[in-house]
Amino acid sequence: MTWLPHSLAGRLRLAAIIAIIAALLIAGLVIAFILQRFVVGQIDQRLDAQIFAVSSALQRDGEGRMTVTPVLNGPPYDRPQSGWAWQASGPSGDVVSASLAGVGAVKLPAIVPGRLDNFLGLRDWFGLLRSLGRPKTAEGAGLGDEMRHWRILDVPFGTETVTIAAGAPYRAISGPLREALLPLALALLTLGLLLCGALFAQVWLGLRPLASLRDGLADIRAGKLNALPTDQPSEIRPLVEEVNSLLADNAEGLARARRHVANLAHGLKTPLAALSLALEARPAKASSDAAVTPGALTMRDQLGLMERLIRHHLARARAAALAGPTRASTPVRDRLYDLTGMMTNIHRERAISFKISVASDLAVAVETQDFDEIFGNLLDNAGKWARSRVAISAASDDGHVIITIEDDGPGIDTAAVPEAMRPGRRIDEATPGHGFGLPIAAELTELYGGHLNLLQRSEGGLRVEVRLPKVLLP
Amino acid sequence: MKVLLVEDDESIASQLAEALRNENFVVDIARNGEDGQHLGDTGAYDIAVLDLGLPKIEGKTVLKAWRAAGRNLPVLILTARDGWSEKVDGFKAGADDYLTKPFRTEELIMRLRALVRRAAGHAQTKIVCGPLAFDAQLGTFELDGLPLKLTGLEWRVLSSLILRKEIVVTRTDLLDRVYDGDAEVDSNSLEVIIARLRRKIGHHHIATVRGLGYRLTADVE
Repeated sequence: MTWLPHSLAGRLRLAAIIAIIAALLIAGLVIAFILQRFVVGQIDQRLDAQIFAVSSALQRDGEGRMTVTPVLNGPPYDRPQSGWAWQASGPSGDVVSASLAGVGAVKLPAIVPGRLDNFLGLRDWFGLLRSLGRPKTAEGAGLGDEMRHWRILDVPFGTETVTIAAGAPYRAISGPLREALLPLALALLTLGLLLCGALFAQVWLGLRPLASLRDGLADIRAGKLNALPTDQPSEIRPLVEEVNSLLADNAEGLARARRHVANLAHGLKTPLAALSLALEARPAKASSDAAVTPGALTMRDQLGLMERLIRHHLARARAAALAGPTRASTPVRDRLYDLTGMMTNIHRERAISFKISVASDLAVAVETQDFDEIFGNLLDNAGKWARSRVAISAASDDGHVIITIEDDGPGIDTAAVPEAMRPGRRIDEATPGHGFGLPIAAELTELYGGHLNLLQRSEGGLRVEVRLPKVLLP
Repeated sequence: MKVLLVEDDESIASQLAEALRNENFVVDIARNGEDGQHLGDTGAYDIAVLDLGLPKIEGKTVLKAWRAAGRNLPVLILTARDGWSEKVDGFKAGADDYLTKPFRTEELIMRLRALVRRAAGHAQTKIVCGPLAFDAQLGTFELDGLPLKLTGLEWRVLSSLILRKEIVVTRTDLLDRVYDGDAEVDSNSLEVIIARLRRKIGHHHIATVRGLGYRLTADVE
């Protein structure tokens, strides 16, 4: 079926156009045929009238020759150019119309036995009864004569049989036929165009719910909708309902998987905490400055590593962005105030000042929990490494908000940036200037289609730029 | 320094309590939110360590109830919930600090000492009263610049007094902060400890306020 168009609309249109063309062609042929019969019928009537007139006017003159009196040469039989003609021919001579005066009696073409319009042969039986004593038709040209439509009738004339024929030129038929067929063709063409227009409109109307379905799905992907609208035509509604329950199942499954990960992670943390407490309790119980065994150190490091891996993957699993784009909107300034309020508490001993200069109407399309995870980690790092000040600012460019966090700490060596972004590093491997929260902040940012950039400030300190998708606050 | 430890995991609660007692903290343990809230409402604590996922009443609810009732003891949330959103919520509910499991005991102890010191109104880690100096971060005393050796009970009494230096600390308050909730208390023993301390740091530095309690003072009358 490769010849079929790939689109449903295309298929519907193709099928309908074929059907319309076929229907119009058949209609055209039938109408043309009926018209032709009508025109021929009219002409036949005229010719038959002439034949009967001639038949009634047949007489013998004084010498016994056959004449027609009065002479039946009214128009159009009077002029040779008219193409109309009649003749009566028998053993006792021929009489011809004025139009044939120069030519004489025409040798008539053979009578058409069954005519083209003899539909299913019905006319044969029906017509046989009717045509007894009626003229028969013949088509064609006599020798050296023009093409004519003849009606021919044999009539008795005394003891003889005289063949009377009356003929009309083909143009007498084709002229009116052509005149009628031209408007007919135009009318059919117009009808065809209107039908095609109606059909295209119908296909468009009929397939429009599919287009709106596609838009709805795109909106769901873009996070503008949670489910497809259910006010759909009855043919589409079951599909929409199925899609919606699929979406709901999907969201439910995702939520369940997240809960499992979170439960697993939280469940692991308590035994980890107990293990690490037990590890620390041993030297304290032993004589005052008992050396910590290398084994205990390794265990402590490994515990730390486990904890950070759990934290990292937990934050990732929790990220709402995993479910695709969201409708979430987090007001940047308000949430930064919440976070820095907390940071002031966390880094109380270091008396770090957090300064926020962000326009109140900026919002990012990020779940608050993920926003907290990104900026909690970044601000916590800044708080750890800053000497006294952390400045947060935000700028908006088209479609994005760039939030910048600057501290006056040691900053970062450009060469160390890739290493800083690697998850699961041990804390003692951490380069001064940043901590292990960076990889998750960077990953979350990227899940939202954003980007996180670490830069060394020229005046010293670290500058972190976070680019996130923007939301316009109403 | 008396700590209210609200933690439902038995192994963590007992190990942590032991580690804290080794550092001269007095520790009461509550194993669920209801008991924790009740103890925090009625007992004299310098600080509370509060888990969030607690049986009966959620940790955050306990904290909010304390704050609503005007209990302003410093609270450190100790939990496995490490999301920053949960931390923000914790601080908004009135927490003073937040530590996630697993944790290092030293870190917890440092934070507890810092919180207690700040709650007592001392911005600096070193609290000085006459010849006596207390490093609230390390928990060490110096007398005239030399390390002062103290027993556990002596340390508890003296740290309670120096955190409230020049202020009268009542006998009940001191007894509360020196003995564990379930310990057998002999009311005379407090006098014995005070007497021993006076011998170590100078008689006049601990004033008896008759009918009320004791006051640590730099003044030499």
